[in-house]
Amino acid sequence: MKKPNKQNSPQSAKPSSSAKAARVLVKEVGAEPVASHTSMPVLLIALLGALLYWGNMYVVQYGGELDARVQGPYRNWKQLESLKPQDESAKLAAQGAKIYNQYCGPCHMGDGNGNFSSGFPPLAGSEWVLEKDPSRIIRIVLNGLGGPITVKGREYGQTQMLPWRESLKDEEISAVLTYVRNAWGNKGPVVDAALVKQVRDQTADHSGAWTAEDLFKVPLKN
Amino acid sequence: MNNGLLLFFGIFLSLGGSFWALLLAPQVQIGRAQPVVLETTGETYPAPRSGLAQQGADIYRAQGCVECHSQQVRQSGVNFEVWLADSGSAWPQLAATMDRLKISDADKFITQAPVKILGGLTMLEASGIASQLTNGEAKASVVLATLGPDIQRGWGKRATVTQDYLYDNPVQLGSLRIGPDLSNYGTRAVPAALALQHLYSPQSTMPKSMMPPYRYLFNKRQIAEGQKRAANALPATVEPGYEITPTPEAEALVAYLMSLNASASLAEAPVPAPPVKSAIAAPAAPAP
Amino acid sequence: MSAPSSTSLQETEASGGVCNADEHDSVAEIDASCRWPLLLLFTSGILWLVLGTVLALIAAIKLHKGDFLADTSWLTLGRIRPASMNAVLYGFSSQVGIGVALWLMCRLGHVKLAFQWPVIVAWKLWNAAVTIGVVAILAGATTGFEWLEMPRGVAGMLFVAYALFGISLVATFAMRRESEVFPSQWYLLAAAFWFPWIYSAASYLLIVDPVRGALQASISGWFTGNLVTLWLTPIGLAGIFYFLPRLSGQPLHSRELASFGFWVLLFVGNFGGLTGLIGGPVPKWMPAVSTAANVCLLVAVISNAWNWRETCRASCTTSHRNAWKTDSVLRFIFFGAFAYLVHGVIAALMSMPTVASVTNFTYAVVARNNLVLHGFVGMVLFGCLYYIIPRLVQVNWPSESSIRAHFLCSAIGVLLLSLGLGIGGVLQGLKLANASVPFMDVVRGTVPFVGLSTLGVLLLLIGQLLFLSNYLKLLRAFAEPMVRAVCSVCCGCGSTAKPGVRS
Repeated sequence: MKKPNKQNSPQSAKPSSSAKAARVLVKEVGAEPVASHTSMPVLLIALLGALLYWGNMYVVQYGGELDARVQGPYRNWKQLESLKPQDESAKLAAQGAKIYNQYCGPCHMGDGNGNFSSGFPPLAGSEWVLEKDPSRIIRIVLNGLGGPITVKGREYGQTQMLPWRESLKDEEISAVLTYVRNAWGNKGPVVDAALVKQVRDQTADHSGAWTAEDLFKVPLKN
Repeated sequence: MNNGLLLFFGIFLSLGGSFWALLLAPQVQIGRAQPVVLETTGETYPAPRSGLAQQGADIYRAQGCVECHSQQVRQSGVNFEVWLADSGSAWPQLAATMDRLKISDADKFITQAPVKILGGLTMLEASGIASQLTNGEAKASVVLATLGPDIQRGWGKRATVTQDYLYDNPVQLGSLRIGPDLSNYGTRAVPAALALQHLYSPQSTMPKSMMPPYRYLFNKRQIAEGQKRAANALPATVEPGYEITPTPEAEALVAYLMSLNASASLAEAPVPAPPVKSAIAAPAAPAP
Repeated sequence: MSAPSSTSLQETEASGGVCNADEHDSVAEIDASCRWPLLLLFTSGILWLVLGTVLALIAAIKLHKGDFLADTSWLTLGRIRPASMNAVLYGFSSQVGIGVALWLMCRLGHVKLAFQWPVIVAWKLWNAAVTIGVVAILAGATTGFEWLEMPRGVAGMLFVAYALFGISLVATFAMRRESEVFPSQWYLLAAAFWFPWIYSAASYLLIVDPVRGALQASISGWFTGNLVTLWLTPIGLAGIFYFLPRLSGQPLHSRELASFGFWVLLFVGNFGGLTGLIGGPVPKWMPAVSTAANVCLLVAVISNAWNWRETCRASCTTSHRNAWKTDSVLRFIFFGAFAYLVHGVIAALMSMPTVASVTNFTYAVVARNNLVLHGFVGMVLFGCLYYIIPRLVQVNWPSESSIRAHFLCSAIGVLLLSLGLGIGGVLQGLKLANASVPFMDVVRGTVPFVGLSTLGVLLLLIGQLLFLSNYLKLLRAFAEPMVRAVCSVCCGCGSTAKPGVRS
């Protein structure tokens, strides 16, 4: 077994002589390391700044807008909402909203309340609109309405409603009626375009506007 | 930086920043999640596990299954498909529309409805095509498709999200896939007997498998003359006169694996929902 | 003139320093005060390392041949792997790291170790805790969280033991006689506060009072990331910052650069642990922040590397320029520094989502962890051990060739382990990303690379056994005079050697 080269007794000699001090100075391994001061390269600070900026932009872009519900491959909550299954009435009502605002709104008003003094009946909460079988309101839209009609307990009749048979297609009538039956607190089933077509064919030879009296004669299915 | 107090203050600031950003903020965001009610079925999700499955979760943890298996499905994105839900009655017109839209095999699709017509589209493209095909009784719809190799391998229908792990304790997401992902094991229609057989001897059910056998989770029993085999004995015979029965631990583990299901459609993780065949009643014609 | 090997004592060391030279404790006093606590820590540390590596070897063999030792639940793959990791992490890296930290703090502060007996009591408690913990993992009481598998009673014991260690470390720092604080001391102080924080927070939030659902996954990721970045890495960096200047005979190039690297590590590094959750069931911003942090941490890696390079370059013109050829300690330190660099770059790369979608869930992650554990921290700690132990016991290493062989075995072992698993992992990930490749083929394709890594683990084990044999011989040489003296006093045999004087 190799003997240790040098004996170091527990009390080591402090550098007392210049010879020893010289030895210590030459063999610098003897001293604890010190750190010298050198100014930092600006390049590194700039690099840190650039990387922090990039990191910030990265989190903004790929961080799901810090929304807890955005996980996995989705970009943001809006994208997830757009993926929700849209049921038929919602889609149709969205279409119908556009048609309503363009054609019906001027008289029946944007809030569906009509105008009593001008003779435009309301659609919001109207029992005619909410009737389960839409045959009567399809007829109104196709051929128009004239004469007195009671809606929500009040009588209207000064103004005649125009026919829309030639102006609106079946799909458009179904869309706008679906919208009307689902807006302003109304809750009603979808109006099928096929049904509109059926009514259109049935009433093909009906001339002139409907009256409330005639409409009551139209049988309702439930 | 020779001041110890300054050093400590800086270190404390870094501790505080880390605590605030990665412990407190996530706790506020996801630490108080609650079970949700699914719109489609009305059930709460996630469903709490049965007692046996909960014991199985404990066995899963104790055997260290998480070292080789993951329970996390990843998804790389979504795109959209157009499905023909109903061909309606006006087939010639539908075929003509489909030819106009340059959809090949129109006749095949019309007879096979509901069927996927096109895939790999964006939402706008798919909506446009679907609305053009929808005419009268013919209906086409836009269906979400989830993408990713995990999903293509059949490991799940969608990415797993926070809601799926609500009742897991500990959450065993895993970090290495030397075995397949297990988060939807319960949807793969593996009979319990096959799962037990796989645990006992993986090579007997999957010859190329490198999974170690878990024979110590099973008992080897001698069947005496005229004695009936146990009801839950493994079908494979090991040697004449002996049978292999699972211990309660093995059965609990399999019950847990069968309960693993992360396929429910959630708001933050929609699942593809292609239309199914349904009877559409034709509206009766009222007499005026 | 070749530089003296720092593993052997050939010159009298004198205390140095900037000021207050009279009040400094002498080097011999410092080393004597550290002797017993550190010898205990180092001995138990190396024994845990050998045990952990043996367990890792068994686990690696099981990855080739599934039914190797598969008939007992104590040796099932799912328990042996965490047992081996915990043995290495808490038994070796942390214990030896604490020992090295205490010695560095004493030497740099020119002050004796503040408390000896608390450290020895803590040593007993820590080893008892790790023993119970590893046995508990093998028995099935694993908690299921990566690197935190030891059950909760053990966690409490470990925390109390650490409290004693930490108090000794901080007290030694507070009682320093040297007013200028060297960068190593910053890192050690940071590590001293970060470990109890992450360990107690993770233990409490995951084991004692578990949080709900997927939040556990994010806290587990935070813990594993910070265990590496803010406990083991600072200890390794403290070792490199100390030994590179000391062994190359030059002062550290820039204090400012070191300070910059330190603060960037502290404030940016602690966010980097969640890259395993990219695309996972946590809010997206969390792995995104981790990605950004890992990339920004590159600045700290670059600044440290620049600092070291300039320090070594200055020594190229002196007699120390070929020191690395003869000085084993320097070789270990260089390898560790290089592994730190490579790990920093790889961590930044693997945190990018395009790369992570390939490397997550593959052996590449295991390779990265092994690179930092064995390649960086392990090699630096061994370099420190080779330097410190002779100075503690005042006995030289019996066999220089063993040291060289150990370095070779470790270096090649780490290379095989990291490269083998790394390349195998990337290939595994590419195949996993291609859904037409059947899963069984993906797993079977990793077997040759696991074979390479098994060879690497075997080489690591051989190197560790070489160290152990060298160390035991050294201890025998250290103990022999004392045993002889005790015998002579007890038996009253007519030995002319006076007690205390070694022949």
